[in-house]
Amino acid sequence: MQLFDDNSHLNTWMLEKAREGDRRAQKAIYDALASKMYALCIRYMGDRETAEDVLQDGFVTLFAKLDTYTGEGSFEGWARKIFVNTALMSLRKNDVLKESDEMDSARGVTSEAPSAVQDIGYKELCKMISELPAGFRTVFNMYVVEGYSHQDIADALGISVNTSRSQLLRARAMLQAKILERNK
Amino acid sequence: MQDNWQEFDRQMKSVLQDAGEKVPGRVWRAVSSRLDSAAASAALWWRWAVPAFVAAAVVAGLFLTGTFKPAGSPAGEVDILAQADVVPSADDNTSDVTSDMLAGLVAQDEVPAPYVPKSGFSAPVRRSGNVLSGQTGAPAAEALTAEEPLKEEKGAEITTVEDKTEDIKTEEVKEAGFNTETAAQWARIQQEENRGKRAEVKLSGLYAQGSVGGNDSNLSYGGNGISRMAPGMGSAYAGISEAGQSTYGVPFTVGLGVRFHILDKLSIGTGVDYSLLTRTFTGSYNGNSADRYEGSIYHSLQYVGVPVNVYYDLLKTSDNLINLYAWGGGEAEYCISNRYRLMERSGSNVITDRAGGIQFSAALGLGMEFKLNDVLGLYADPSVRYYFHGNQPKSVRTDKPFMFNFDAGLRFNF
Repeated sequence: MQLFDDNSHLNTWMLEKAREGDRRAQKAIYDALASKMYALCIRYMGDRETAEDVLQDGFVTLFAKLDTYTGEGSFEGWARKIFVNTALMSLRKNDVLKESDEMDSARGVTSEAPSAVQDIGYKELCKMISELPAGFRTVFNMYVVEGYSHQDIADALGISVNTSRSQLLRARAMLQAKILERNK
Repeated sequence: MQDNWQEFDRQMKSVLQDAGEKVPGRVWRAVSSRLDSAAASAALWWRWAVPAFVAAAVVAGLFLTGTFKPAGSPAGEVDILAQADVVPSADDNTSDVTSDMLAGLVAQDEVPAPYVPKSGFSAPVRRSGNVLSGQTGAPAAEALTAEEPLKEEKGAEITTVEDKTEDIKTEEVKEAGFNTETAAQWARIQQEENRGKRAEVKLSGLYAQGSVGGNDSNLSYGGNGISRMAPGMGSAYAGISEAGQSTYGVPFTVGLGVRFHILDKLSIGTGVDYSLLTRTFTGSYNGNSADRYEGSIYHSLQYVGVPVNVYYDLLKTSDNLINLYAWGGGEAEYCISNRYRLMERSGSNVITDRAGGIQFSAALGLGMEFKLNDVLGLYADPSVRYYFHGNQPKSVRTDKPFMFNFDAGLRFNF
């Protein structure tokens, strides 16, 4: 269990302080979340520089919206949604997702069984994901890591459910190909 | 194939979901700076609201009490002899907090300053440093490395901070899942705050009051015209007689007070006040048959009083910059000096008289305190106050017992 994973008296107290604008409490929340959320932003944005911007925006949004956290569910889960939405907004703003749609039909799907990924380190895996087209990468992150449904993804990205399924399949296939290439 | 992809996804998720990346320090600095900017923007209209509130209260008071003297009005209705002026200064004190600061302070085993209570009247007793710029009781970066997956705890009972004032027990901290160092830091911070709340005795500090009143003849006590003001000055014929209306100076009060929070939003304040009431009038003095004076007489009364007021916090901004409160109470004052100065007269020209009894008054008002910095606050308490006569010498209070008061001053929070 980690900081803010539960709604203990202490956590509730810290959140209350952060809502009041207490900078120590805000820093506490930042320190507790920043590392994971930065990794999340890198996975969505594909590069560190843009991810830093999204991380900043996400935290500013998070502190502004602290009042809306009701205590239902984990605080980190609530925070992740804010960072995912911030990343999606940034991707949409730069029309990156549209560019990915155009690449949709350009990739094939491997018929080979998926390879095990446990032997691959986080950094290497992250690099592979960052090399995916933005649309594939986004659907993959939302579905596989965050656990969104295809319907949720379709609604969030303004695409059809079938496109979401297709992009997920192609993202998996591309990752699979990279893993096979790496293991050769 | 579907099952294979599910296993593929599961493995991917296990690697990716709880992974962390080292975050450059510039990100927090940028976030902190943007939070400061947002807070400053939010505070901007409050900064305008305070002077507007003060100005509106003064104007309202002048009109309500009929003491506003437009140009060309007859002289002698109201003559402001003293007034309390306060000039707010802007001092937005929000500074950055760095991990280095935390490390240094923790190493010195310093205890952070207690937080400003959400609904306190003013800043609590401050033991060390700036609430905002004190060390971070920083949570643990190392806590991020834990591998346990995120848990969903829907339906968990939420308790509010206000409902919990007891100190955190070590067991509770451990149950909350903190590592020892982080838990100790945060528990210590909250324990300090709880102690601060319990010992929330605030010295309200030096304050000055100015009461706006007039000599509206319709409200005068005992009527106008000839009246004997200082009976018993040597003979049945001796004393000071008043002929004509008085011109009152604005009553002026200074004092020191303390305030105790007895409940979250409720506090009681008391202290000691010194008040000076002045007026001039045309009259005559008969000391004895050979000692007679006719002309202008300057009358001054000095009171020492003990106010007891109850304050209820109505609103407090999240950054603690502004407190809005309602208050009511009473004051008992004893006249320590009652002097008449016979103007334009050579020789002995000061006559003193004894004033017995206590003057009681009751007041209701609203107040706003604007925090200038950690220890200093500017406040304005417009109110209505009724003065009971209590056989007191004639003054603006006896002449116009229902008065609009405007108290303003600086409040020091220690």
